Amino acid sequence: MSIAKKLSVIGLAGLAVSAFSAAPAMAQSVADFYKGKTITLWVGYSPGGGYDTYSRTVARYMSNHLPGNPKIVVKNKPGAGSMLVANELYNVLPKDGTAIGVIGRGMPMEPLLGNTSAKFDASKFNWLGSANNEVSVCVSMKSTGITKWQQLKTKQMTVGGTGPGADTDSFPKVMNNILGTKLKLVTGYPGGTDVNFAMERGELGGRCGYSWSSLKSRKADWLKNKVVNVFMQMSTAKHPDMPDVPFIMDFAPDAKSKKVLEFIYARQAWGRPFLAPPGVPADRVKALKTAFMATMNDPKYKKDAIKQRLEVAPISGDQIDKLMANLYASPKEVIEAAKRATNSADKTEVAKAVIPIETVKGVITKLRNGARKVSYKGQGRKGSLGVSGRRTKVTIGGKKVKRKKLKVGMKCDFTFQGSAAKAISCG
Amino acid sequence: MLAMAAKAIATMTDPLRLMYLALGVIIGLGLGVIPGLGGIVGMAILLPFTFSLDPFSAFALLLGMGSVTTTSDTIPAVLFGVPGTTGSAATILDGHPLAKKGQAGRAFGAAYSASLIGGVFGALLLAISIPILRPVMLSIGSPELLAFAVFGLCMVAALSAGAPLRGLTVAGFGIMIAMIGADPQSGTQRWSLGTLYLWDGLPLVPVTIGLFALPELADMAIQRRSIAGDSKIDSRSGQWEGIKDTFRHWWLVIRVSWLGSTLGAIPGIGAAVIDWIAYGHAARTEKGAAETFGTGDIRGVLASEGSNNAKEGGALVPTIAFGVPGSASMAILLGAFLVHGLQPGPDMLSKNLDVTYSIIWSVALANILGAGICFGFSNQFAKVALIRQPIIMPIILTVIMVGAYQGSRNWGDLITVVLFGLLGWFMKRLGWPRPPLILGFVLGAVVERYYFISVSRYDYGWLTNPIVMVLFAIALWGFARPLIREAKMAGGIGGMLSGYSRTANINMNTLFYGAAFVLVGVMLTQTVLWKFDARLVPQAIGGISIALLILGFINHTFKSPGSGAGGDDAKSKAVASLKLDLSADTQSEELKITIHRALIFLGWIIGFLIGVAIIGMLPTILFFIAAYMWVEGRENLKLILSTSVGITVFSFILFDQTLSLPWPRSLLGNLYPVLRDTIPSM
Repeated sequence: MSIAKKLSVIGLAGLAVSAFSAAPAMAQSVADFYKGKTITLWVGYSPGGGYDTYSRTVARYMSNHLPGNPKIVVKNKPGAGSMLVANELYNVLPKDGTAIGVIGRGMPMEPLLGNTSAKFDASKFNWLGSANNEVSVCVSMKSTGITKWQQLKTKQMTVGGTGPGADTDSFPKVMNNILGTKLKLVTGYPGGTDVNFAMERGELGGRCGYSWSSLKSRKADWLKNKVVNVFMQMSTAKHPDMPDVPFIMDFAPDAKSKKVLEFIYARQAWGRPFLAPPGVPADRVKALKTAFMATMNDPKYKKDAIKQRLEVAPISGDQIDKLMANLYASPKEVIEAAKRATNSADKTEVAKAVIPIETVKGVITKLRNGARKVSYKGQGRKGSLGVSGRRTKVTIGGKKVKRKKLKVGMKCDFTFQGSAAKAISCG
Repeated sequence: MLAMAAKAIATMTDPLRLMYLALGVIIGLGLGVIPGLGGIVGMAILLPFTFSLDPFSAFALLLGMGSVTTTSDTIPAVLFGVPGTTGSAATILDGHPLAKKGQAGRAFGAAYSASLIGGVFGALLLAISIPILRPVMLSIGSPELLAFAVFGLCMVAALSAGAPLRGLTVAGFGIMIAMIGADPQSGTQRWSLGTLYLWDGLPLVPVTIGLFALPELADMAIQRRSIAGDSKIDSRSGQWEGIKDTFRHWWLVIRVSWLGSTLGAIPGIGAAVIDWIAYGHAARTEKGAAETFGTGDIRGVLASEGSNNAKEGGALVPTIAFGVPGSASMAILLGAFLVHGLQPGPDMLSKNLDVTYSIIWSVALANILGAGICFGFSNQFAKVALIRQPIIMPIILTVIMVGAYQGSRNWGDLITVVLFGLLGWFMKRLGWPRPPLILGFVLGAVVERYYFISVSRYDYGWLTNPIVMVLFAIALWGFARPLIREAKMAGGIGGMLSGYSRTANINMNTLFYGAAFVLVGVMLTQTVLWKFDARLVPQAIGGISIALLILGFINHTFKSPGSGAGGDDAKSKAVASLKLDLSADTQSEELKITIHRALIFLGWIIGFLIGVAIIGMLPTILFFIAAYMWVEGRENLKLILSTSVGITVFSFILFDQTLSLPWPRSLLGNLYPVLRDTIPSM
C-alpha cells in the first residue's frame, strides 16, 4: 500500500469513527453512557488548597451515587485564579458529561464586572451544587482593642490583603465604602497564612475576608484563647455558629446599598461550586446533580470531610441556578456600584462630593489668566478660586456676564465648593 | 524537653512506623530523580492514605518522602546536568563536569554524605531551637523578609563567574521576568501578552529546566559523546573518595547546612535559590574557588547538596510554630496536621511537643535512610554515564519535556522550556552567567512584594530596624566588593576608562547585546501605561538593566580583550572552558559544525513539540525515542523497540494512571474525540 493510500484509509476510518460517536447519544441511558467511563473533575487550583481538598474528597464518593459508577479522577489545572478552567469548561472540554469542574466562587461575577478575559456566561453553566455555603468574617487582634465594627468609624485599623480581587482585599473596601469604616488595607501578602502570621507579630491589626470554616478549623486556638475578635460576618445569611456576631446585611444604610451587598456576597452561597459545561444532555445533568447531593448526604463523605475539618453545608445545583439567574439579572447601576465598592480604597470620592458649598461676601483682590483665577478677601477669609466658563455663574448687577468683565476691587458674593467657584455675583 | 525528645525517639523506632518511613523514603527518592516531580506532588497523593494512620506514622510517611527528594535529585543533576528538583540546579555546575571526567561516583559520594549531614543538621537545629522558635520568628516582619531577599540577591556577584557586569544585567532580567503576571498591588497584568498562561507569572520549573538542562543536553548532542566520554568510571572507589571529600571540607558542609536551614525557615526564600546562595557563599569564601568552581570542584557539589537538604528542617519551623508553610509541600503538610487534630502554633511546642519531636526525628532518620539507599544503588547509576548518547538522549529529552509540563500543565510550559533552553544555550556559549537569572527571578518578586507592604505599613521607619540594617549592609558589601576589586585590578577609575580602541570588536556577543537591548527596551516601553505601583519596580530595574547593557556593550565592543577591567569575555570561565566558543571571531570549521549540530538538535525538539500538538504526548514519546535512536545512532531494532515502548509504558503508568496528569490536547484528538478515549494523552 502506498503512503497516500494508507493515509486515506486512516482518514476514512477516522470519519467513520467520528460519525459513529456523534450520532448515538439519544437512546442511551445515563447508566449505559457512564458505564466504564471516566469523569474528569477539573480543579482550577494547585493541589493542597481548600478547593482542591473539597474536590478530592467529593471525588472519592461521588462515583457510588452515579448510574453506571464511572471512575472520577481529579486533575489540577491552575491558572488565573481558576479562570482557565472556567473558560475551558465553557468552550473546550467535552460537553458529554465526562468533564466537570470546580472553580473559584468569585469567578461567576467576572464577566459581569467587565473582565473580558472571562469567556463564559456563568448563568449558562450547569451548576451541580456547592459543597459548602461559606460565611466570611472580619477579625481584629485582641491587642487592637477593636471589638465592635462601629469603633472603626473613628479609629483606623490595618488589615492584610493577598492581592486585588481577593476577598481579603475586596471586603475591607466594601466595609469602608458602604459602612464608612476606616480600615487601612496593606496588600500583597503571598497568602492567607502569611496575613495571619503578620497579625501574630503585630504588623497587622486584623483581617477582613476570612472564611469562617477555615478560621474555625485552622486557627481554633485563636478563637478558644480569644486572640481575635470576630466583629462582622458577611454572606447572604447568618452562620448558625455565630448568632451574636453582627451581620453586614443588617447595617446597609439604604435599600440600594443592600442590593449592592447582596450582589457582592452572593458568591458566599456557592462557596465551593461544582459545575458542568453548558450543553451536557439534560438526563446526565440531572444524574450529576442528584449524585452530588447524594454524596453530600453520604455518611462516609461526611465522616471524611469532618476528619479533614471541612465544613459540610451544601446547597443544591438548582438553588445555585436560581441565585445565578438573579445575579445575572442585576440592574446595571447595582453592578457598577458593586464594582466601585469592591475596588476603591475608601470613601475619598464620596467625600469629595460632600465638600460643603459656602458663600463669602468680599472684594476681588487679584485676577489672573483672563480671570480664570480670582482671588478674594472678605469676612475674615481670603483665597483663590477657579472660575469656569461653563460651571461658574458670573453676574454683575444681576446680569449674567462673561468672567472677563470682573475687575479688581469689585464687591461680590463668592459661592464656591472647595476651590471651584460656583457663582460670583457682584453688585 | 529532653524527656520528650527521648520519648519521641522511642515512638519513632516502632517497627511499623519505621516501615512507613522507609516507604516514604523510597517514594521520595523516586520522585526526586524525575525532573518536575517532587515533594509537592507526592504529598498531595499520599495525604489521603495517611487519614487512617496515627499521626506519628502519618508524618513518618509524608516527611520520609518530602525530606529525601533533594538527596536523589543529585543523580540526574550530576549525570545529565538536569536538575531533579529546582533545589539542585547549583549541583550541576560542578557535579556535571565531574561526571564528564568520569568522576560521577565521587560526586555522588560527596553529595549523599553532604545531603545526610545537611539533613540531620537541619533537623537538629530545629530540635535545639524549639524554646526560642516563636520569639525569633515573631521578630521577622515584612521589612526583615525584604532584607533577607535583598541579602540573597547580593549573591549575584559571587555567582557571576568573573563577569560581574553581566551577572548584574542577567539578575536584572531575572527580576523583570519575575514581574510577569498580575502585580500584587494593583492587579495590573504585566507583560502577560494577553494569555491566561502568564496571569500568575512564569512557572519556575520550565524556566529552571530550560535554562540549565537543555543547554547541557544540546552540548552533549553537539559533542556526540556519552556523558563520561572515554574516561574510566570511578564508581565504588570514587564514592569513598567523595565521602572523604565531605569530611575534608567538613567546615564548609556545616556552614552551608546552617545557611540552608536558616534560609529555609524564612517564608518566600524558597528551595530554588537556597542552593545558589550556598554555592555563592562557597565560591566567595573557599580558597581558590574563583579558578576551579564551575569546572568540577567537589566543594561546589558539597555546598549545593548540604544546603538543600538542610532547608527541609528549616521549612518546618514556620509550619509548626505558626501554620505558615515554609515551602510549597509544607502547605500540604498543614492539611495532615488538621486531619490529625493538631493545631500548628504554640501547642506544638508545649502540649504536643512529642509530635513535634517525632517530626524532627522523621526528617533526620529519612535523611540517613535516603542517603544509605542512594549509596547502595549509585554504582549502577554512575554507569549510566557510559551509555551511548543516541540511547540516553531521547530518554532524557522526553523526561524533561514531561517534567517541564508539570510547571502549570499548560502548552505554555513546553514553549517556555524551549525558549529558556535557547536563551540558556546562548548564555552558556557566550560567557553569560545563568545563576543570577534564577536568583533575580525568585527573589525579585519577593523584594517587590515586601517593599510595598513595608512602605504601606511603616512608611520608611523600617529602614532603621537593626536586622534590616545589618542585612542591607552585608548585601551592599556583597554588591560593591567585586566591583571595587575590579576597579583595583584595572588600576582605579582611570584604568577602567582607558584601554578603549577605535576598532570595534564585533562577534556573536555583539548580536546578543543587541538582542537583549531590544528585548528589555520593548519591555520597558510597555510599562508606560501601567499604574504607578505596577511600574515602579519594572521601570527601575529595566532602567538599570539598560544602563548595564550599554556599559557592557561598550566594554565588549571597544576594549581589547587583554586590557584589564570590563573585558568580561576574557575572564569568564564559562567561555574559557569551552572548546567551541561561539564568541570566536573567525568562522572556523569547528564553529560551523557546532552550529550545524545545534540546529539539528533544535530540530529534534521542535519535532517533539509538533508531535505533541498533532498526535499527543505519549504517542510522540514512543515515536520520538524510536526515531532519534534510529536516525542518530542506527541502533538495532530490538533495542529501539524495547526502549521506546518501555519508556512510553512507564510514562503512561506514572503520569497518566498514577498522577492523572492533564495531557495537552492534540489536534488529532480534537478532530476525533473517540481516539482520545482509546489512546491516552491524545
